[in-house]
Amino acid sequence: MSERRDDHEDERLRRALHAAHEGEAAPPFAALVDKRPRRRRTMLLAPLAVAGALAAVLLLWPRPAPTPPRIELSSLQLSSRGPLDFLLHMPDDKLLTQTPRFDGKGDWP
Amino acid sequence: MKGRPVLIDRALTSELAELHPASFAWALACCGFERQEAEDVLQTTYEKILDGRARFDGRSSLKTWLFAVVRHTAADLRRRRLVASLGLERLFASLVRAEPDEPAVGSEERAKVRAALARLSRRQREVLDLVFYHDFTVEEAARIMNVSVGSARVHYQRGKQRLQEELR
Repeated sequence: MSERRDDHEDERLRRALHAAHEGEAAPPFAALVDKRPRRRRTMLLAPLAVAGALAAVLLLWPRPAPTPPRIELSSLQLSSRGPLDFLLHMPDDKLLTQTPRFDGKGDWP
Repeated sequence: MKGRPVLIDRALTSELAELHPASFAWALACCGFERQEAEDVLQTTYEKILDGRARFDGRSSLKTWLFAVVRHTAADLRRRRLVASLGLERLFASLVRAEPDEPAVGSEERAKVRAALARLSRRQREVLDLVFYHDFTVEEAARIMNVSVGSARVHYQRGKQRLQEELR
């Protein structure tokens, strides 16, 4: 009894599924097989894409930085002159760089 | 050297041509009865097969294998379209299209069944279509759907129950 009911329900579902597909004729097989436009477009674009990727890699490839020219230490001349350096200079600083010498006359050298 | 692939290609092409109406019906079911999408899926499937990207290894019938490729291709296309539509416009359009209450074209019965099927889960829809429309066994449907037989049985039973309720 239950089996028969199941069979009846299955038959009902079978009819329903067939109704869902009703009126949907397949397009001609050849139309789908012969078209294949995407493949051809891909075939054309693939080499271009590869070339572009290669160029990008070459451009972005990390190259070693150029080595800076070697400078001999002996050739360096260091000097600095600041705008306020004059304040460090005292008038008549000769007195500070030489030892005063007193002769018999009592004059400054 | 080049003769053999051509012969294989011809034999394969004629078998594909023979299975073409059933393949299209299955592609339609995989694409929620979107005709244009089903054509794209089937075209891509044929490309894959004829270019050798999908190879039949003889472990099942050609039809079972072909249906599995169609299903895989449909899922792949859906994923790609989803990614491409992350700009939201197309995603929104596809969501709107998936609405089950959309006014249907064609017979009233067809519209009613499609709306009911749209309310089922994808796996439930697939297993019911394979069993009741394409006359596969649940075991063959499991192979096509790439799930275990136990899982396919659960989808089959729940799908049947749900569809019966929806059509009541």
